Amino acid sequence: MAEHDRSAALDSAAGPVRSLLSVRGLEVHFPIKQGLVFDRTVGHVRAVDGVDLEIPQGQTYGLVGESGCGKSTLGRAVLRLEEPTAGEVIFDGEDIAKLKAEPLRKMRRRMQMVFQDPLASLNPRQSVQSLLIEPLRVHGLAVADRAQFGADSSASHLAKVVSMLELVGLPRAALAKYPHEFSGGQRQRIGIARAMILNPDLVIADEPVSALDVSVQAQVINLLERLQDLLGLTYIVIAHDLAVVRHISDTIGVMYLGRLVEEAPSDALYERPLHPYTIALMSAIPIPDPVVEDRRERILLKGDLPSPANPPSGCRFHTRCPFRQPTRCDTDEPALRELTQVAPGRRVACHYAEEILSGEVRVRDADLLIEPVR
Amino acid sequence: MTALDPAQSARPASLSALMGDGMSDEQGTSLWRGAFERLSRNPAAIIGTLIVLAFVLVAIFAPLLAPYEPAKSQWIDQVTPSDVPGPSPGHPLGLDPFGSDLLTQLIYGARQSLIIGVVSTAIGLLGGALLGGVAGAFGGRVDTFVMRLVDIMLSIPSLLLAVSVAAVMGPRPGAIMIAIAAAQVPVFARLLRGSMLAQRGQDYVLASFSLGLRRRTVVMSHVVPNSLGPVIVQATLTLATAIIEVAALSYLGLGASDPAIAEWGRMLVKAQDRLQTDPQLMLLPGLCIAVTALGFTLFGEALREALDPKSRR
Ligand SMILES: Nc1ncnc2c1ncn2[C@@H]1O[C@H](COP(=O)(O)OP(=O)(O)OP(=O)(O)O)[C@@H](O)[C@H]1O
Ligand code: SF4
Ligand SMILES: [Mg+2]
Repeated sequence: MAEHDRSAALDSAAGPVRSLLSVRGLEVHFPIKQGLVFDRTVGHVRAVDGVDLEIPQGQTYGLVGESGCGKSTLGRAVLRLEEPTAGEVIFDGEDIAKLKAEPLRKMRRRMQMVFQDPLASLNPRQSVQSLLIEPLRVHGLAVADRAQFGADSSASHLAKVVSMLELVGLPRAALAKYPHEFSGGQRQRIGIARAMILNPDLVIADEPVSALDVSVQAQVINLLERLQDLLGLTYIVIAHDLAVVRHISDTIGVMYLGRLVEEAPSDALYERPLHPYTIALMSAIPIPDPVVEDRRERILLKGDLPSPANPPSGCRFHTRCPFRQPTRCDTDEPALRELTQVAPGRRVACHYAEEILSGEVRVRDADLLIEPVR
Repeated sequence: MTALDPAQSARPASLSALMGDGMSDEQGTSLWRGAFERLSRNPAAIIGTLIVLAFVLVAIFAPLLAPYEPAKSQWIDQVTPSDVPGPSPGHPLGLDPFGSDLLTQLIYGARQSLIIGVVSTAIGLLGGALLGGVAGAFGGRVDTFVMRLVDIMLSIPSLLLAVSVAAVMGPRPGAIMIAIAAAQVPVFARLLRGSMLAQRGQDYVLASFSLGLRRRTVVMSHVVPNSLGPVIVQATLTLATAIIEVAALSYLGLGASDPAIAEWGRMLVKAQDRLQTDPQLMLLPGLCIAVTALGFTLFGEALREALDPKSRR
């Protein structure tokens, strides 16, 4: 019954949606090495430490969290640009984490990445034409493009490149140019064109707009949305603040120290964040209405993110949690569980999620509140 | 928040406003072309290039430029232990201590320096690039092993290394080049490996992998070309050092066996006991070495600046 409720919440009216990507128990630990001549492993950075998630075909999953919480590492591990330490990444029925080199290379045409720093992600010595043709040289035109552009040849590749360029809003004259000659927004369009030219199924955009001027951020987000509609893409969009992913995401996952702490449909999450960490993140977003802005309680997150090499015991958030309770919080690790009774379709990793929702558990630590200004 | 301000997202992105005015010309500027443009605006680069060009032309066209045949000691009878004939109408710079025309010797000296400089730098570059490239491409244990080897080579002062190699090889023709090259190998190896390592961490390399390029392609057509800039700069600078080192090794008596062969360093040595009576014998080859080395250094430094990503935009 609970299962049914959850999928109902995720589905649009069209009926059950096939899951394109499911991640189970994914862990990525980086060894910390020390030693002058011979390296010794003295510990591990648990960048991603047990993540489960499920993304239906055609949907957008927004992944948010503070800097260093492991978002990029998770994204890279899904594409296996980083070797997972443990866990499964099932993409369209196949475990990416177990693929051998050659099948993996072939599979790459179906999963692409858009990078945070567009200049760093483009080889400075390649012209736009060479940047965009390169993926086609490796994999050939996508089956869907064959009808329009014909069999693989330099001419059909170039035709596809030109049409892709147009799709992302760059003129044909850009072909002969080099990345350093463009503005940040234009470069990101090139990066997006490059990721989309193979007609992938899944695109992971790692902070696609955080390096851009505020004035062009919306344009790039809109472009991503337009391409999704046009090409039927499934997205994971990574961001460090909730505002960026709000409109584009169907589901949002909030990460803290290598784990998901809350996952909910985008609107529900904004309306009523349940995990204390999400509540704190939300209270950091300014509200345009000055009256509401002045009245609401603001929660301040104390301290820095603890080291992922040595995460706190019990609930990882307990060192900074304004709702922390005397029992369980610092001893038992809360699982990411669905709140079937009170909020079906939402998953929260907090022992006291129900009580926080009902108002039984309130902010304890007065220091953590910025009192409303009158 | 402002990023998704509805007022902004509603505004259609006007393409012309988006593109700016730089987009009108059809041809792009590649990194190297950009570097060239910056070089042509840099006075130091121009002076350096002119010196290098003059040096190379003199070296290549030595037989046409030189008034006489080199190292023939045609006028040995005019040289006495106490005096070497100075400038005269037939010999604008006078004679050298072996009775050859000094100007001819200097011109052919350029050729000798260029050959030794280029060949030794090429050998050093090749060896260094091979070691550094292997270390940078494979990483891990291979890297550790190769780089320890390079560290050992680096820990020996370069001139000492060159002297030892030259001494071991004896007065063979190629000895001096190999000696100088040996001293350069670790420098190039370290440079290329460091440069490759820096490039490998870049997002564009990750992007290449995520596009499904083969490892070999990524290393050979992306990592290596982007790592070569500093190595090429180093090679230009090394040419200057090589020319000085040839002189130094000759000075120590480790050069080619025939003392009459025109080579600036050896001319310097053979002239030292006549410094009092005929200072030009020492000054002129010294000046040639200094100016040529300066030319290559200016050129290399300007190239380094022009290729620096921070000076680009
Ligand atoms: N290759 C690596 N080796 C060792 N530690 C790493 C490596 N990559 C990432 N880390 C560590 O893993 C943690 C998570 O890094 P990650 O880049 O995934 O964070 P993030 O959420 O993307 O942060 P940001 O918002 O800054 O991009 C960090 O503590 C980081 O220092
Ligand atoms: S389990 Fe405790 S410490 Fe963790 S988020 Fe919930 S209330 Fe806070
Ligand atoms: Mg990141």
